[in-house]
Amino acid sequence: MSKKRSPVAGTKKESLWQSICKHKGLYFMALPGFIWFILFKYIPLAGSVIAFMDYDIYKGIGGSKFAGLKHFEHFFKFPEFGEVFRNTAILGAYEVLIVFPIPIVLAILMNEVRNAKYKKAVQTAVYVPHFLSWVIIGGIFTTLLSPNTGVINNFRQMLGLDSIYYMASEKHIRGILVIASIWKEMGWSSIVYLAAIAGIDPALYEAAEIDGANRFRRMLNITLPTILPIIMTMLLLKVGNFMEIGFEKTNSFMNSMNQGRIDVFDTFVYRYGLQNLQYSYATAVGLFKSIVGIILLFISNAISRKTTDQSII
Amino acid sequence: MNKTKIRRSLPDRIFNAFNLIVLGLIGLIAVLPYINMLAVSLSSSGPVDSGMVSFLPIELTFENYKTVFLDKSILKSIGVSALMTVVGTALSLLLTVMFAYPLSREEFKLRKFCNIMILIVFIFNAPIIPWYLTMRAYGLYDNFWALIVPSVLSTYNIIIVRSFFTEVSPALIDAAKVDGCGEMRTLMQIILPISKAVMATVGLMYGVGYWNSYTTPLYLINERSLYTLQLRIKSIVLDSNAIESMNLVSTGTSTQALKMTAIIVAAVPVLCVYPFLQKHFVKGMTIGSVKG
Repeated sequence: MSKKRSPVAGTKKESLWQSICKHKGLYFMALPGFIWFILFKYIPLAGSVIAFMDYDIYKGIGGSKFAGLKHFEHFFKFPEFGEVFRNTAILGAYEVLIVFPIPIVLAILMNEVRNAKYKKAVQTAVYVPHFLSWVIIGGIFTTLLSPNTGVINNFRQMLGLDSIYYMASEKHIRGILVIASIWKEMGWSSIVYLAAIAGIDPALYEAAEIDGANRFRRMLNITLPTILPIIMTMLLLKVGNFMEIGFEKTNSFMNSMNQGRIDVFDTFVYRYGLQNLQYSYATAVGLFKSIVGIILLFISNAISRKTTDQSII
Repeated sequence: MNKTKIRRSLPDRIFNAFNLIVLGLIGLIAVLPYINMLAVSLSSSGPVDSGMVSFLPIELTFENYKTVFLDKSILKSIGVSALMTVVGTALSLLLTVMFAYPLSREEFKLRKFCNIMILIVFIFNAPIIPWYLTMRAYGLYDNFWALIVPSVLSTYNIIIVRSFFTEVSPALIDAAKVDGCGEMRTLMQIILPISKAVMATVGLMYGVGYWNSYTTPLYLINERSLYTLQLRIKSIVLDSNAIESMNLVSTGTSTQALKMTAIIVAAVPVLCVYPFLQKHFVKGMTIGSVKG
């Protein structure tokens, strides 16, 4: 993981100050970036202490009262905690179990196409949605699934079925989110696997062909095992990001009718923090999410190191 | 590719045909939503409201586009988003190369420290409410700079540029130094001209990022005249009140068609740069997999 220390840098010892004097230009150039990270990343991070206070925007951090773990306790006892936690876990599980494997299959199938133009055309089509924002994707789904004028319900009506108000249906909304995720990222996520497959030595396939292995056997016994390490890495990365269902994604599909099914930590924080102005409470919830997230990431990383000898962070 | 024509067995050919059909269907499904949206946006209100339009426009009209482009608030939002994207990308690129360059040089003693510093906040997602309160304290609220400054640097992009700069031959830098170039001039006149590909990749990433950004403007912009296009689209799609204000009653356009038209207008700039995106991003993805 860590780079080997170059022996040259180790031998000529010079103090930081000497180095600064000698390479003023370099240090000067790094200054804006350095200051930006302090001001826009570390100070807000330090501001998380308001999770343990009764923050009053007029008094500031100095003037607000210390409240201990009150907000965390409040959140854990709150009935909505269960709901938010369940939604996050279920949507996260869908991401890992349903959304995750599809790009792998897509990449393997794509690799079997011999006609380069056809391959390129399909790739062009499936990559596009990755670059559209979730707001746009949410808009597209909302309009396509609209009960009266959306194309999906028009077809249902043509077939003599009742139209369904999908976006307001608690039964359908999670499925819609999963489909939207697949639609948006399936092509893009397949790139990593395609690149890995492209690195496989063609001699392996030829040898297998001579031994009489058919296409399917070759995919199963050569392609899949060689890209298994990258699959593991991506999977663990996905598990590590389990808590990150994404504010933009859920917020773009959420309305008052389906909220109970797709309300996750980030949307909860937005509602309580920005709309109800409960700053400390919302910060406590956000901090809880971040801490669970980082624990998951470290667990994934440890597993990754054990199994594939690769560190994901 | 097929220099020697190997005779393919029957199951092989069946598999090929099946594979092509499946991938073709996937490609088609990926594209159909746009075709439907385009058809609706080009149709008259009658057929749209009675649900007749599927993949071809009925009673072709540009009324929807006219309404969208004559709407002052949408025009204003397009202007805000465009300006944010252009100014933001330029500023982001400048600050990114300025920070990434020292991070790629052995002489820079704080290299390790800075690398760890940017990595920690990359891994740990700080809660958003303290971030929001800090931005407000800085005065980055309800003004143009609030759209840019809080997201001007991205750790991911810094890492990409840094790994590219690391590959640059030290001899080149030494030669520039012998010729009397300062660090900044070396970067701008020697390093950048040979880094066009990576600059394009990172520039496009920043550009798309700004154009698509939603969370930052949602938290930091309250003033309607500073609404970005994404915020505007969101309110048009979800609030029926927002679309009422577009005076659609007078022009007699369909709400559904107007929503789709607005969405298309917001998506088109990204689709226009898409060919470049595809080329460079795939490269960027592979550079990006180099770990920090």
